[in-house]
Amino acid sequence: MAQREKSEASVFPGTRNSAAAVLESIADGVFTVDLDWNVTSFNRAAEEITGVEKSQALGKKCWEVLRASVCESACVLRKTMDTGRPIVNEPVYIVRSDGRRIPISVSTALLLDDDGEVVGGAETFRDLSVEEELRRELKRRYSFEDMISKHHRLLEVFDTLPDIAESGSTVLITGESGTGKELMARAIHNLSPRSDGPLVIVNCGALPDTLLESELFGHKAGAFTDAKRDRAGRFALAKGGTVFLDEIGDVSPALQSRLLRVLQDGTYEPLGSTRTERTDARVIAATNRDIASMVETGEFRNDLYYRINVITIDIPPLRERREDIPLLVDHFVARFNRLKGKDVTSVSPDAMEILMRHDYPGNVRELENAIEHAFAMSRGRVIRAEHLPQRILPDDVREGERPESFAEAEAAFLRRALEQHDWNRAATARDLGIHKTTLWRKMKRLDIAEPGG
Amino acid sequence: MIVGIPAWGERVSPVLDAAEQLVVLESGTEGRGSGRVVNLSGLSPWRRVAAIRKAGVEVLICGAVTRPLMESLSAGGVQVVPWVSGRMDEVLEAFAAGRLQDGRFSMPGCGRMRRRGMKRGRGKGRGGRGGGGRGPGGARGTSS
Repeated sequence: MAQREKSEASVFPGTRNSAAAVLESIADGVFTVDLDWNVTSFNRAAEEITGVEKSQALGKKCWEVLRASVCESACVLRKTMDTGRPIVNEPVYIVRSDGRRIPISVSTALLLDDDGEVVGGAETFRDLSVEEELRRELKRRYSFEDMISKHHRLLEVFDTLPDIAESGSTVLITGESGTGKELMARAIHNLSPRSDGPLVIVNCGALPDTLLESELFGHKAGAFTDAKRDRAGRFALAKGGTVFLDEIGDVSPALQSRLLRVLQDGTYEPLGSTRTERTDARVIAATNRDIASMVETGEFRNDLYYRINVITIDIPPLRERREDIPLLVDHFVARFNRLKGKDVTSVSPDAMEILMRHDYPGNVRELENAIEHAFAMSRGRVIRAEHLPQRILPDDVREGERPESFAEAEAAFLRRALEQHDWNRAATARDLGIHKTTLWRKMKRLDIAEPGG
Repeated sequence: MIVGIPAWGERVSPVLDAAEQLVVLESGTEGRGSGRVVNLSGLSPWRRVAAIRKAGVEVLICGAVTRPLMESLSAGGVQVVPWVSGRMDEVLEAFAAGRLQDGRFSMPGCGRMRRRGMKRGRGKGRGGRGGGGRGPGGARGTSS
């Protein structure tokens, strides 16, 4: 029986040359290791998926080449070598040499010589990037990679996000339109013990008052003209999960008092009903308005404000964290490559300079749209200035004055920032939202020195 | 200087994002048993960054690392020396002697990426489907 399992797990015993030719031509990555985990063969697809050339991979330990999430704790090849049983389509991820996380599925087999002796193992793997991107789009299940920032305030938020998520407290997320408030709410929900429960999103600014009330709390048949049958509200649908109330600053005073009651004791009555319902849903609220000022002017209830303002996360606008723009551009390029089946490899220096200079009244969403626009306009592998939307092109971009590389654009940007602060590095770093040692390292790398300093 | 290394037995852990233990030690005290061990097992990327920063790590020597994790660490003031492989004692010795960058400890295919300004690898890992393959002459070097 054990011998049969070994045979099932073996790869082309005794057919070396033809098997090797086939392996070179297939789209799945394939590599083999000897009994000391040294890579002994590495096909062309493996080179493409990992970003490691065959000549560099051969003779190296497999974990140095593949760099998979399971190498350390649950190596699939080791399991096969130990048990003799193949593993089929195990989902893991690898880290490419450019820092990209690539989801793959791996399968393993024993490697036998002509006498049936085990001489190593074989692993095949398939790039699942496109499938995962589509799944993420469908389920909108965002992760760490989607929340990219080097801004000090956001880094502090990221540090505490797991604790915020686990606390179960009501959270108020503030920030301009397009900064990613919903993304933050999703991250909190996904990190929380309620992640298996639903996340129900309600845009309070999009519905008239009575409709919003029915939407939130539900109604009984006959409660109003069109109410033909009973309908559960969003709070009922969010049982065991989270309700995300977007644009909460737009809620009318009457509805504010009903929301206050939900937040105070978790109870409400559906429209047309006298029976009190209970909800256990967690509430995350968001607004792009200055609610503190609305409290002062009486537009927003003081007591509701204090109920939703238990934990506040303020997301800075993109113009205040320009250092994040190259990271975000890279992220969106990778995402649209996967979604649109393209192979854009870079953004030209002049296009990047324009992207760095723009003020982004629409914030991250505007940047994302600009990259999507460029994808539609570009036919090649490089996004150039002419592919960007007209609205973000500055008036003062003149031929001959453009820096030749991104490094020069970054250097020019940092010099301007340092000059604005009389070359005070601490103040400049604070203003840019980066650590002062990061600024110092950038200055060293870009050879920026204070004039006469 | 406080140095952190994600440890996998006696080796540098291959993937920082999945590393289970972090050894933290004062540079210059290597081999004297002064290292502290911080548990990273099962931590989300956010908690991972927080744990490394909380441990006071100034320089982090690690293996493969995803770009968002590396950027979060370096933006938080942690100097990251990525794509390092090998035995921890040898890596620390090379680091102390300034020989860590000499190639011996670099992960395969990672020589071109150091800290920032990373260049993309060739293609994007999806090419080659239905590409016709190579002739028998391309199938060289398989040793199985």
